[in-house]
Amino acid sequence: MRTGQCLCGAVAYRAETADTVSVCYCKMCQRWASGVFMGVMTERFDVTEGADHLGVISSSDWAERGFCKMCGSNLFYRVPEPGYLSVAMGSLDDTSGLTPRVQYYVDKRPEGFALAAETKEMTEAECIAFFAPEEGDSHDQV
Amino acid sequence: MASKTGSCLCGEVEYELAEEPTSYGACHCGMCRKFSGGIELGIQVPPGGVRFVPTDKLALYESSDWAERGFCMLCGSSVFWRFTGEGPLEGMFSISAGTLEDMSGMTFDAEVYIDHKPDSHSFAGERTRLTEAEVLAAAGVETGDDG
Ligand SMILES: [Zn+2]
Ligand SMILES: [Zn+2]
Ligand SMILES: [Zn+2]
Ligand SMILES: [Zn+2]
Repeated sequence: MRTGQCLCGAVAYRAETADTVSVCYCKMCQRWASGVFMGVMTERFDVTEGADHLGVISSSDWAERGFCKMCGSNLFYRVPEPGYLSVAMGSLDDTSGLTPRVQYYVDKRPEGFALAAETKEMTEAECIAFFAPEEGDSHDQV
Repeated sequence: MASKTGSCLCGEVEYELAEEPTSYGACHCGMCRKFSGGIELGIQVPPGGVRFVPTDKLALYESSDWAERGFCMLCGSSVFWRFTGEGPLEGMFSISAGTLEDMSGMTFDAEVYIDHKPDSHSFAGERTRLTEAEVLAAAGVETGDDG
């Protein structure tokens, strides 16, 4: 079990997380999280404090993002159906034991940016084929 | 070439830079990591080097005695960090690099607060790497707080 909170402390949560970090370079994550989104998948996620300060925005037809309305900290990325939530790595109080294992949208990765770790890499086309095979439409972002 | 314009995820907060940015850096301090979701990538912009399209959706959070952070209150995008103290950095912005329409052609040339970087990740390549003490000395700040 890990705990996390935003920068100002208004929103806090408790989560059971995996030890793997998924990195996303899609333009939505870039705009939202300053360039790169580092998500840690959860098995269970509960807001323990400040639910009324939690802002949630629908960022696509299937996903939403949670943040603190007081300080703007990025808190999570969630796909309500079927129910998938990854917390922003930066919001965790302790990141020990976490390792990046996969990088999404690597063809959109900012020039000059490279993690030292070797991970699985998926391009935009591979991500869309993997995550939204039936959509087949113009979504270029997750 | 990178663009001079940028916006948050939902598009409510938009800006235009006076000059095309050529480089970006990362800050590993705990505050930037919380604010940005894990890795803060920013471009340094001097005061007056950015014009925000007027909006009432740009919220400010005072994160220390000498810095504030701007974010979109509708979508939560981390838009900037700004030095509000006195000294050589007064009014300096670090605008979130990912908000740029286009980051092409930029170099990743600096990492600051390198002594605060968690072990969970590090970046390949050579660039300027400064500790907290080195950054504070350059900024003329005497407190030991993160910004
Ligand atoms: Zn907060
Ligand atoms: Zn993404
Ligand atoms: Zn926005
Ligand atoms: Zn910082």
